[in-house]
Amino acid sequence: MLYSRTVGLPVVTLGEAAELGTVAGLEMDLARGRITGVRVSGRGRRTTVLPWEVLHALGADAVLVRSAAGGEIRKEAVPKVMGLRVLSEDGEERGTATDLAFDAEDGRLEKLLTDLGEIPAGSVRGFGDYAWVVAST
Amino acid sequence: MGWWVWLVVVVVAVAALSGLVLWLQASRRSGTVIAVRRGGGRWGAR
Amino acid sequence: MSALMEAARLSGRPVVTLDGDAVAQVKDTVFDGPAGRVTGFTLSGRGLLAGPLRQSLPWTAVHALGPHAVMIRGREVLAEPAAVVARKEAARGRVLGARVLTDTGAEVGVVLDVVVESGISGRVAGFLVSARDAVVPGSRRRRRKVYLPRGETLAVSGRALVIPAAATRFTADDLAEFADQVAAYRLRDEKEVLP
Repeated sequence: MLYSRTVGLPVVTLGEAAELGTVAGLEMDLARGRITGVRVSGRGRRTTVLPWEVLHALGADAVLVRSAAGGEIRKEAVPKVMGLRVLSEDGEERGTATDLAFDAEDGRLEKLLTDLGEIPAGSVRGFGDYAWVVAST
Repeated sequence: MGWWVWLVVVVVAVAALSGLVLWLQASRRSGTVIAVRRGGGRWGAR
Repeated sequence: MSALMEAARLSGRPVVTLDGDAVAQVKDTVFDGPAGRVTGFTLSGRGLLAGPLRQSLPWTAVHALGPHAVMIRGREVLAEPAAVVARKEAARGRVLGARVLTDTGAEVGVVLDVVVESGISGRVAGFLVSARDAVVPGSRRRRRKVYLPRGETLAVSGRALVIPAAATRFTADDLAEFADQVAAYRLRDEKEVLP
């Protein structure tokens, strides 16, 4: 699954088929190499983070969640993932991030896609407000 | 003179002032290369 | 050998943590003249309204000096300004514009820039000098820009720096050629040191 494809998908509860909102972005833990949650857009800039554990399915057309409980409200904007520059640990630019591929079943990060090629998730060191940082070589 | 003359004067003054502030801060951010001496080459010659 | 870069161009380069956050940008590059090593950087904030920061980056905290960013482990490695350069030293040590003299007393020219190695070495490779043709062979114009190996620079101050006369035989016109000349100069150095 691609990060860009998930953004904008409706988030629907499994029991009541209630639409909670749309996917604004994904939360990730690079050290563990996983997607840890889904940020659901609400009113204004405010988003709710639903942990990966409450997801039932992340499909091509919708995200199904077991419940909206356990959602944590975030006020800060969703960080930019695509279009962000990629830097090596040596401080050399390695193009621009175009997308992020992950396993929709278990949330494992697979690879970072850039305009210069693919970088395996294991080589990704960090992701911040300025750049993606990847291992050198 | 119409009131708009003062409006133009104020707008120009604000633009000039903010331009000056931005230029001043940019020059305060820019730097140079500084040579110091730290105990006479304790790392060796090269 | 790692790529060479001009220190004056480092000014404005972002300081980025391994977590991808830009925490500052380089203001001044500070180097130890006798040791020929970068000792650290003074810092400015990023953004249009930012000025100098009350923080500095000692070389020991640098993860890598790259062509597009100075990488650090995290925000916590930044130190107080005096850890890199004291205010008095900063005023006295501005090396751009200083005269370059050889140890035989000839004037080579004026320092335009200081050339440093990228990566983790922090080595100063040499200087970009606006040279007088009397010292640098083969130049037509009266003054031209040449790269000079540091050699074992004997003295550096904001006024002048003294380099071995032999270093003027290893000039280069661009950074790529300069890397070879620095290597050649070092080889020559080792031959002379060995009995």
